[in-house]
Amino acid sequence: MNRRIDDELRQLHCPDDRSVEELAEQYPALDAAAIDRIDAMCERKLSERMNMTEMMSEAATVATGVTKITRTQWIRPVTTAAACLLLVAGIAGTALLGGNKLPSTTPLPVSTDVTDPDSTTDPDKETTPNTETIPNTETNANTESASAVIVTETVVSAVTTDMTAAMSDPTAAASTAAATSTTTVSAVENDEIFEGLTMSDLYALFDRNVRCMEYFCSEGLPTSSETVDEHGFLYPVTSVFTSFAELESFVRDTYVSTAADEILTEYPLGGPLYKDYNGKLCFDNFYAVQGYCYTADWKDVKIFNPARVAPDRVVFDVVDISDQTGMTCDAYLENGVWKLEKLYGYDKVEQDHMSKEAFILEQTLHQLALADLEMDIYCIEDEPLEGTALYPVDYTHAGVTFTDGASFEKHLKGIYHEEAVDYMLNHYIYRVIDNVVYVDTEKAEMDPPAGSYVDWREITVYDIQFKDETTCTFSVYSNADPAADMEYTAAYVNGSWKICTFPTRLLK
Amino acid sequence: MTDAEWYSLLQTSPREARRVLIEQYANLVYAIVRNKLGGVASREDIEDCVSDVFVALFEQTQSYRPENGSLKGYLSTIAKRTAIDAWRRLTYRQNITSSMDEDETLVLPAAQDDTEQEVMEKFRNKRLWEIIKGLGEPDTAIIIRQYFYEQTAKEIGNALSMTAAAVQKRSIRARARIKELLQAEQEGELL
Repeated sequence: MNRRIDDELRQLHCPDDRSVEELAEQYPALDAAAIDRIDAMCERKLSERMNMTEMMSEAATVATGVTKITRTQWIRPVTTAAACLLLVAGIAGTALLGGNKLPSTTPLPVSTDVTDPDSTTDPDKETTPNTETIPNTETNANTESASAVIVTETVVSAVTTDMTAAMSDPTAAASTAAATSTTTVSAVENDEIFEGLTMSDLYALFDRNVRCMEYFCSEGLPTSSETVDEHGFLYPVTSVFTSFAELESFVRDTYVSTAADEILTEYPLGGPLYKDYNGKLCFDNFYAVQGYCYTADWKDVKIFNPARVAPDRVVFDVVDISDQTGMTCDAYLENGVWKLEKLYGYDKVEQDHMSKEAFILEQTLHQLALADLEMDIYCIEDEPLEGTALYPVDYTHAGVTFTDGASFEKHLKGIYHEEAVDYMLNHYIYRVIDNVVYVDTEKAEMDPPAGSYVDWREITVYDIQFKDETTCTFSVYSNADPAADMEYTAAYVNGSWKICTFPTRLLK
Repeated sequence: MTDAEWYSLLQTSPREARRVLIEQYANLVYAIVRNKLGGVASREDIEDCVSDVFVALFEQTQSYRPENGSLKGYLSTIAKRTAIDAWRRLTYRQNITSSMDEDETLVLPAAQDDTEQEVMEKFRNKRLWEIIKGLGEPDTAIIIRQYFYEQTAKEIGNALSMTAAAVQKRSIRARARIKELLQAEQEGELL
């Protein structure tokens, strides 16, 4: 099998357990920062699991009797089927189980008829929003509202036998709950956490967080397939938001100001993912996370334990029902609006990430080096210029884009510094006479030694070092033959980078 | 710290005991997990899996006793199993159809029913390891850190007190040497 050595090395695995142990001992991979990260992750996970275990041991209060109505206790996060049963019955889980989606961003319907056991709430009923208008999105947010419903023992028992089916077929639970809903009613008291904040508000707020996760951390906003900037990073956004101002408003209405600032300017990879470019809202692909994988998407959630820890702060738990992952969120009252402390569900990526400027420079130098390495001793015609060793370039068969001396000179000026161009046109292996390009066969290495060929079609730039603001050195190696490398000096002149030296490899 | 000492610390100061365990065994667990997940998981995924291993152990400390076996062995077993679960989860999402047996070390995704190919791949991998170990330091360390641990030149430079540029150059030459040796062996086999 003839594979590139890089491919083989990337598939490297220890052949046995003893090798793994030796490797870990001789070449430990983790530095102090990594150990701290892992330690912090462990503590967080242990804490979450301990909280969930404690909560599971405290069962929700279940009302007794068919007609008696009691105030619903907030159901603790649970992972067992029996406990989920209480959850289904305790809150009209038609939306939470049936739709597997978040309720709408509008508040819950308010019903005051708590004494009529036959009255039911309509989970599809929408209510007047009490927040700023949320733009229509292309996400699958469920527009059904989750109504707070009183539990009765009848409902509990009726749902019991269908619990397993309900977890696999959400619609079964919905229909079961609906079938027994004659004994369930809605009660406004059970939606309100305290004055000015309801459970619906928290669901709405978390829904906005999930959307921000999508916009900034996973799929991103829908964009066109064509870029609009010279470097090919900016893709115009085609829907959801029509301007950067709209997106900014959405973010600032969701998060406290410091978090919103961070999300808009350096989330998740240290640079602004969205920007205004010539009046268009654009997605900057340079700052997009590539291939991020996470198990919980936070769309099928349950919120528990809202607790007001300060007049302007509330803490609540969120569980992703599908993934059975939980986290605790903080919301603050800022300028009269409840907002989240940060973007939950995805942490900002803390890693060495090249700045856009550095990346653009690297790409520019990459292109320059490639162009230099493509310089060759071109195919020539059979007859030289009389009395000389200068043979005209056979443009047709040389595989070049220039067709005469003028276009050749223009080509060189796109790659090399002015002094190098002057030398290459007058003293190098090339000569331009009467607008014809010649190769000087006395100077050019017409018969390179066997085995000296290097495939320079794919290269890697490394070791960029700045001598001053406008001059740098850098190296490249051939991806096909990493032992072959070249060193360059480049200068920034008249708004662009140019290579300062001509290719000596073509000389005899 | 011995297992018995750690167990005593666990009784008096669980938080400190957890930290000590992580400091002592995180590199081993990382290497085990990476050995299973290399090629399908990012470094963040691997670290996340490593933390899952320790959490799984910490949740089972009630049932652990030093006299029942070494902590290192216990942790290694949990690490392998957790890594396999993570591998299945990640490859399911990535639609990779390779199979993986708990007791085998995955070398390369092998074609189904291609046992000979699989054996050859394992042999080549083993041979590659031997060549890498034979390079000498710091080249062995550079290649292992670059390809097994997927560290950047800067990180490797920090670990080995070298500049990133020096790491790059040595890596290039080391890879060229590995390629020469592998090709020489291959030609020797063909003769």
